[in-house]
Amino acid sequence: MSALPKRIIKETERLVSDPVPGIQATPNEDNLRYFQVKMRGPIQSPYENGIFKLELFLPDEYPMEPPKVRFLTKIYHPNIDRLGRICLDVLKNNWSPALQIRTILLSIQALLATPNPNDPLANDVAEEWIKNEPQAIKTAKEWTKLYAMNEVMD
Amino acid sequence: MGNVPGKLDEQGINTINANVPNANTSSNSTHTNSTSTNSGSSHVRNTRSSTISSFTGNSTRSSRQRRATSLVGSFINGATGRSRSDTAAINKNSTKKKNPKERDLLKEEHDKKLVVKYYENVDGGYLAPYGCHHREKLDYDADVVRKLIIDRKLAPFYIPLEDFDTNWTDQEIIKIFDSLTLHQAYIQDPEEFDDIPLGNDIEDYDEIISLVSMDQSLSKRDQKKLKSMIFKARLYRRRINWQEMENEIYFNGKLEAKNKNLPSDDLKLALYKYNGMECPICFLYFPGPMNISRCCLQPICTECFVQIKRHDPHFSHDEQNSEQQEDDPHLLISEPARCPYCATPNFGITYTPPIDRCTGIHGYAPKSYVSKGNQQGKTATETDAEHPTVTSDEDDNTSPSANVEPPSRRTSVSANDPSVVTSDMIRPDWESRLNKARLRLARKSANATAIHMSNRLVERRNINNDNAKDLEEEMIKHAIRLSLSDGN
Repeated sequence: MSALPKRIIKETERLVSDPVPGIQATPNEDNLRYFQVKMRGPIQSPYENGIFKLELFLPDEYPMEPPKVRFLTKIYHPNIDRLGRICLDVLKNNWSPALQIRTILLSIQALLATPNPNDPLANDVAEEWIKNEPQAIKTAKEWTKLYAMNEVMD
Repeated sequence: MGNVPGKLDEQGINTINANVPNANTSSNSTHTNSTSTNSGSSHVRNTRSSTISSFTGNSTRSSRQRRATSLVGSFINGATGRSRSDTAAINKNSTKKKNPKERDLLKEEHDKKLVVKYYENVDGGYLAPYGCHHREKLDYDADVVRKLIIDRKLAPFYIPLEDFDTNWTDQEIIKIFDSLTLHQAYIQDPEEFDDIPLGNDIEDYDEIISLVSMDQSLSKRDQKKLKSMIFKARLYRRRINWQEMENEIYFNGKLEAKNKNLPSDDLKLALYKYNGMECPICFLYFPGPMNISRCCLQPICTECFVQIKRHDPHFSHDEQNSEQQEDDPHLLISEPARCPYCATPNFGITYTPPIDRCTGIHGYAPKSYVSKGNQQGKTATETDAEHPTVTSDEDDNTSPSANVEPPSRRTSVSANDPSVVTSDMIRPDWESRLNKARLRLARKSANATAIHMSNRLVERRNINNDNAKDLEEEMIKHAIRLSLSDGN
């Protein structure tokens, strides 16, 4: 593990001093590259009123490589699989070192508001989303109630 | 799968080789000869594995394996044999890679060029990176970058400040600068090299071989891995040593008051107090002027610029028939790097050097730099006689804060513009990397097919034939017939 680059220190400071509304990212005390994230489900989405836990890790090559992000809370979404892995272009090939933890988390929040079943990660969910959207949204709301209502934002 | 050799024969190798830049048609024929008798699946593997088996003196390959893989060798040679230039292109590729020692020495050479030396300075910066980013991605062409910096087409690598406060006094800025070394401190014992033996003399390359052979229980594959890890760990240690030596020379230089190659206090202030800015990517504070993206006119420090490169060769994401393409080498693509700020393809920058400080290589001595406001009190002897100062011709009445940056570009410029330095220019090997990846894939699929074929053939035939060559030739014929009849 290499020394903590100034960029990570400054990003963390700015996340704390100027937090993103509806998103909380707290670095782990033992490993400042590892963040616990809480994210509020976007309003008027099936995830509204839910608070979702995620983990975010900054690899050694960050910011030249994207952060690794995963949902810890179970979520019914065509672009998020059973293990919480997220299918989002900016987390992979469209990553740019000019993006930050802040912008990446906002992109994930936006993904919750706009599911894209045509580029699925969870195939069964995507299929349901295309075949019977009202039912899929209903399931997503149920899951939100079941799994994402136990957390509070600090 | 079944039709791969046919494909490889007809299109694969030919197109791949057609893409090899400057294919050297006169390159050797010895390789072709050696592989036809050798037992590896490719030229590259042949040489490497035979080197390793010569370390240990035992070769455990079964005859069955040998037959299977040599078939592939024959395939590739057979395919290339149709056209002389094709063979040459393949051989050129393999000669480039053939000797592990040569390859290691090239890495060593590269790393030596990444050592920051204080006397190699340009306009207050240096020719090698400070080391803000992970060292894995410093695989750019060091000669190209050094030349671009000397030619003032790319900003030099400066020593960055972690923070900057406009309330700092001149003395504070100078003191902070003086406390910094030429390169960010290295982690002394990185975790990845924890259990790697370094040996007695890290300068002795051949000692690696005896270190590897100490453990007889290792498989050839593990030996190769260990060998490369020892090399990496030693190179890392040596890099630390090389940089520490340069740091010491720098430190000793500082003790000599008259050292011409060290920046004057005026230069330090010109760099950080009057021209500094934060790079939007690494958040470090660098002297300006910075490189400016050719497309959207955003600043980027050289430390970050050299990190931006093409992704490794990959398959296009848009292709529909994703199952088919996985073994088709010419569907492997490599796209130019995009601008980190606006995602425009073919990332490039322009750089306008500072007009008030042309110091170091092709300039005057950094020690003789005097800010315009201070100039009147200084004597002419302080400037390097061979390289008259740029500032001396300027108007003496301006204050230091008027060290304005040169007029900057207002519009975007094309990637072909002569003033632009693109990401591809500092990694000109992207094309050969792509070709190597395609070749590797072609060999991999040919290998898989050949193993499959030979298994089928071996099952059918009763082998008590001491003339292996005859059998092999027969197998090739069989395999080709099989591949042709496989619906191609």
